[in-house]
Amino acid sequence: MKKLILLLILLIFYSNTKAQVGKGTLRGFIADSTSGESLPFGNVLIKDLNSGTSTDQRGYFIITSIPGNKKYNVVFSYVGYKSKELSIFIGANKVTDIKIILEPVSIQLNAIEKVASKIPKEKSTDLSLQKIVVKDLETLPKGVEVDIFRSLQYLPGVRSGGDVSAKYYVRGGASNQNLVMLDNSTVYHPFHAFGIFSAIDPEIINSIEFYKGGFTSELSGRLSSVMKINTKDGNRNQFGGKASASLLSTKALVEGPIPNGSFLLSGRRSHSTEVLKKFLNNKNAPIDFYDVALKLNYSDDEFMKDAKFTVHGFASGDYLKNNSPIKEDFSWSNKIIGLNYFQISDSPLFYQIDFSLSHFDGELKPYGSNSKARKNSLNDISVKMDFNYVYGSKDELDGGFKITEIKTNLYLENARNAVTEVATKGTNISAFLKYKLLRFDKFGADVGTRINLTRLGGGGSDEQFIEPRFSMTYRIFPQIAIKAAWGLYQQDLVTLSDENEIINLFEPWIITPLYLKPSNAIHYVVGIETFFTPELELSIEGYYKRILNLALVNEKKFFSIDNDLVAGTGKSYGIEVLSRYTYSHASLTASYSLSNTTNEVYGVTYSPRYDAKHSLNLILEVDLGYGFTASTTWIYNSGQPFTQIAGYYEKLSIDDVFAQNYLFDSYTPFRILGDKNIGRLPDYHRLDFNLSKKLQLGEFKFYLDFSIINVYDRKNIFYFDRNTGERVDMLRFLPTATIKVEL
Amino acid sequence: MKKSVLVAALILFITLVSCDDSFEPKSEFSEKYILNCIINGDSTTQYATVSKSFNVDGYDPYTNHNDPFLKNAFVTLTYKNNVYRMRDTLVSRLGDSRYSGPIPVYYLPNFTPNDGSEITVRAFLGDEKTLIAATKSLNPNNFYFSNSSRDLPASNNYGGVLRFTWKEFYPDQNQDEEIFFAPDLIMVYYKIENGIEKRYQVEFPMYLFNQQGKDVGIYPPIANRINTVGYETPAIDSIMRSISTGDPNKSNYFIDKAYFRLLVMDKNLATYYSAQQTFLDEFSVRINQPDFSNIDGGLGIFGVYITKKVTVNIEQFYIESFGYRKK
Repeated sequence: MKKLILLLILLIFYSNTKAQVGKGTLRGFIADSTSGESLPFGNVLIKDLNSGTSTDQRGYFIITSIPGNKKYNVVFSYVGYKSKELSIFIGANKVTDIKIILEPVSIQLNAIEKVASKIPKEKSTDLSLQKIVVKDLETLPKGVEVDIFRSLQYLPGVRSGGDVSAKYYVRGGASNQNLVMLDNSTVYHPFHAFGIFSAIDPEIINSIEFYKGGFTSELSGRLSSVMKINTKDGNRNQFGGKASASLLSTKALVEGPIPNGSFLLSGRRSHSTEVLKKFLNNKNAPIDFYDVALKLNYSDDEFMKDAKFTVHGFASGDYLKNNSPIKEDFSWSNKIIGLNYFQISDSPLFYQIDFSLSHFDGELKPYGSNSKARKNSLNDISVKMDFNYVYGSKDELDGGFKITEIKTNLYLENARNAVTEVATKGTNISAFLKYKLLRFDKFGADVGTRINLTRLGGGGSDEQFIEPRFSMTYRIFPQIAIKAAWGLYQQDLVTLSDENEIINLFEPWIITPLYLKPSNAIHYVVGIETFFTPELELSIEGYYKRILNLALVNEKKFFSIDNDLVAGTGKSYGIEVLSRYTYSHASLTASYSLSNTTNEVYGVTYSPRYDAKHSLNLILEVDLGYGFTASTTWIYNSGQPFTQIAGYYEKLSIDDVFAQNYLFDSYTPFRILGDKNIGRLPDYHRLDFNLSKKLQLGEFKFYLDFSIINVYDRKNIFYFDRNTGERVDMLRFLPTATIKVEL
Repeated sequence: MKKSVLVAALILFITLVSCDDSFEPKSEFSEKYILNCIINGDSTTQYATVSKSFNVDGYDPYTNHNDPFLKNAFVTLTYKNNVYRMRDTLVSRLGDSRYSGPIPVYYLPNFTPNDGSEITVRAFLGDEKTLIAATKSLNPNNFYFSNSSRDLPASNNYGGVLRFTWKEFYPDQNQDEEIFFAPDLIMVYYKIENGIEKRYQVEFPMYLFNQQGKDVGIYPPIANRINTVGYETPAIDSIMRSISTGDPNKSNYFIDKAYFRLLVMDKNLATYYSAQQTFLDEFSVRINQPDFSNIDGGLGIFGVYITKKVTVNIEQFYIESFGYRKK
């Protein structure tokens, strides 16, 4: 077997070497003409060969194995930009570098721009991957502001935590199984205001890659999903600024060139909590939040050829201050600083080194309230290096390593003021290698593995965990591709969050304690992707996900010495359909998912609270011309599981164990609950509408936005208070408006 | 065409707005029975209550005024192969009870199960409904305190810590992890209020924890693997001062004695008690409250406990240092 693998590797290397003779490589970068900002996921098509590729998250692309010493007509296109066709000479055995500047056009939903997008997707092994450009989100109805996490709910397989939460659940996974990375640094608390909004201002985002499952071996650390957010570099050509105000916050952004680079600085601060009452059932929540982001780029060919240095920082804070000696206060904060070094070498090789520090703090100060003090902090120091080598055969080799040191501190008090203070520190060293087989016209495969040499929670060599991953695409007809992915995934960092709590204010991160094995999941995903016409896209995916050693909060923790977590199992499977039809200046997107999720713990199988059997989203976007854009969305989810009341009884209350005779008169009515989550809340559905207007007055661009949330005032139940019998609904009819000014 | 689209949209709109979204927060009610029996190993009389679950219109269980406690159940205790039937009686309720009339209680006089043997409770309710639970009785002779200083203030020889250590005697030499301890140190004091002497009781924390500049008292937990508890002098001083905070007339306070109490209980009772000690902050909404029962066939608790007590002498000079007087 070993000999066979060796032979296969030699064969691949031999064929890669042979394939390069007489062939050339086209490598380049696509940017926006006004800002110099990279255009991720743009399309490159060599018309003469009818082959192409797409730019990566950084705006770079590379096409190898082009017959050399010839001129080719190459089309560069990007949705919302004017396509460019160039005649480019490709030298034999050479790398031809090119920088393409595309000009934005006023009409965004242009079907012609979609044509080129068909070609690069032919062999891409991108099952369950959604590439999102924030510009696409701006035309959708907003709750109060554009919100990246809220927008995810339109994707099949993603369930939101409801109108009052930006938390999301992917294919039956818990919310702590989602990794959020900002310029390759982990954000541990990416939410504002109880999780109602995301902490990352969409204004700073350039692109998002969102993996719903089956992700390949360069991504690690979570069981369910990965969101890679790439921020803008800032305008390289001229200084500019934006300011906007919504009912919730005021924000500003400045950007501009610096010698051999650019900068971007943005800040957002809440100015009123009035609108939050809509989200919190008229409850006054004195929330104050801010977020600040800074990015500096430097690339000087004289200093270091084809290299780019980036320093980025991000800080966010949330404070819930009651200003009362008898009420508790909360605070949460993120602080991130990162350094990225990206290098293009003379051979078709990219590599990137990332260093990041990410700090999270969460605290509950009880003061004179009945709450108990709780405090959590997390420090993450990570270094990683990734490389990507493109062979002449078009095959690619990716590899890299990552070292992460995490320190968590958790302080908890119980009802008798007994204190639990746990400080844990661990290092995870992992490496990955993956081979992308892209040499065949109709078939592409991605085979790789990640090896964890140590686990965060400690442990010896027996705790090594190998995460093999595989994904493939086979295009049986030009219009139809079959895709599949399989992989093992590990997570060694969990939150002590009780998924039974509707709003979780304190979700401390802890390294999985040594009494539990790290949670691990296996994903099986299959899908069909079709492009019958340039206007119509249709993809269908089916998945099965099994989670072992699922770290769940121990509901039977009665004593401080009892473990906080117990190991359960999880199982999720479903089918998802996504269809997009673009015609002239209108686009209709429909997505549907049918899924089933169950967890098992203490021998009891139940559907977790975020399980939704049916989910349907419809989005209609129309470019009305004259700067007007209208959109409407309709969301439908079948009801969430909940536990029904099975009756009441007089429960013996022991307030003081030393008291005598409490058996005679110390009884309090107590609910008897039925089987866990066997009931279902009513279905959720909502219609939203948005109208946007863009206009230019002199040097200023104005973006006016008017949204109506829940147009037909549907009473979607948020939860039912068993104590009072009160039914608490989610957002009712809510008109909102924002104005953004850009210089 | 446009009209038909408009009509269709209107119909859809009306359908969506008016569609029925009723749901049933309650499942079908099925009656359950509850047995509570806590064996006091220091007492010669044991008690139990039996009740049934109930339903109400709406969601406020306090609207129920039909007494759910049951008379005429056949309740037995089985101990050392002997079956003892508990007698039923009625005990007056406190004035604020929702239920009129006395509470039906089952009792067994002259019965002190305290040698570590298994004890079983059964409640026969007719229609072949039986509630059953078992545990092991506790033997007070298996728990004793080590000799140590029992005076306040604690001697510097002991690091200024008033320490209580107890030992468990296990006939089979195996530590019994099913036994839990709830220690506390209390002080009884009196205060003259409007010429009348009133009795008060206060519990001492083990130590003080500084949290955001404020001292918080940390009390001993209920646990099964402890055999010692120490009380630091600053924590005791803090409570001594606090009983008269804001009152300039310190001489109105009379200090008697302090007592260290150790409640020894089985795991069932300890778990039942601990399950009640949950807390929430203002904004949390917890759907499921933890509950614990060890009654097979129903709900409730069957547990055992014994108490051990040590008197702690409080030196007169120490009492007077706070301006108080010795009782």
